[in-house]
Amino acid sequence: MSFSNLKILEFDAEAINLKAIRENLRGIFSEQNIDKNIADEMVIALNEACMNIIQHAYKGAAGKIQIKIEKNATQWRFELIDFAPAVDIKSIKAKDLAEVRPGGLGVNFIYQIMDSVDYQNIAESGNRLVLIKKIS
Amino acid sequence: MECKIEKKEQHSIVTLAGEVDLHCSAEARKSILSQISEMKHVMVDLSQVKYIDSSAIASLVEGIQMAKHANLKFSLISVSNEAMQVLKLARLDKVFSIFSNEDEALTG
Repeated sequence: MSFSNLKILEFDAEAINLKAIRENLRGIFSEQNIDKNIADEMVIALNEACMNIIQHAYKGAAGKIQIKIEKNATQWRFELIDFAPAVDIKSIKAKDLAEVRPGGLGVNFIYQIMDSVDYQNIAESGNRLVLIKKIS
Repeated sequence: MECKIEKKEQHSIVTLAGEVDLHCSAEARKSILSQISEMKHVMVDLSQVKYIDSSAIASLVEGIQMAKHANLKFSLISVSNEAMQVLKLARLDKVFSIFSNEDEALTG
């Protein structure tokens, strides 16, 4: 089933912009009358994904994050694109939550909340993360 | 984010408020860890937290670990629904000592 494009957000990859990213996402979810609990969870997952781009893809260097937001009758689809050097996808792992230690929770949150998580390296430059959330 | 520290005789309360994310979690971490060396019991009040991300949760985990190592008490009090949602996602709601308020934390 094809998706209709709702919005493309673009931000500088800086921690100070995370709040604005969340506010934009909340606004889009609110316009679409999505259940608040599901919306809150998706905001958490997308915030963590953006954080990972800032911390682990750009590693503090300047750059952009694009978030393409699409939906159809049964799914939301999010495509996060950065233009940082290719990350080692094999190194991206969800933390074992039985280990109580600081750090590494973000990927776990993304996997718990989203129904599909697909990391890709872009041939030219950058990385793409495609997230799918099923809705009833 | 706003961060306030209230020092009492035997314990201190670090109150975090607003949206605690990567942009300000270093400040939250500094405030929390600064109290662990000073007080027998550190409480972190999360009642006014509207959003908390994994970087701030990591600071809380660091806090409980430092406190355990120093044989001190570390509690979360008045946890907002938004903060509890993230603690549950991290399955940390059973790891932290969580109390409804300061008095409960003192006697708990």
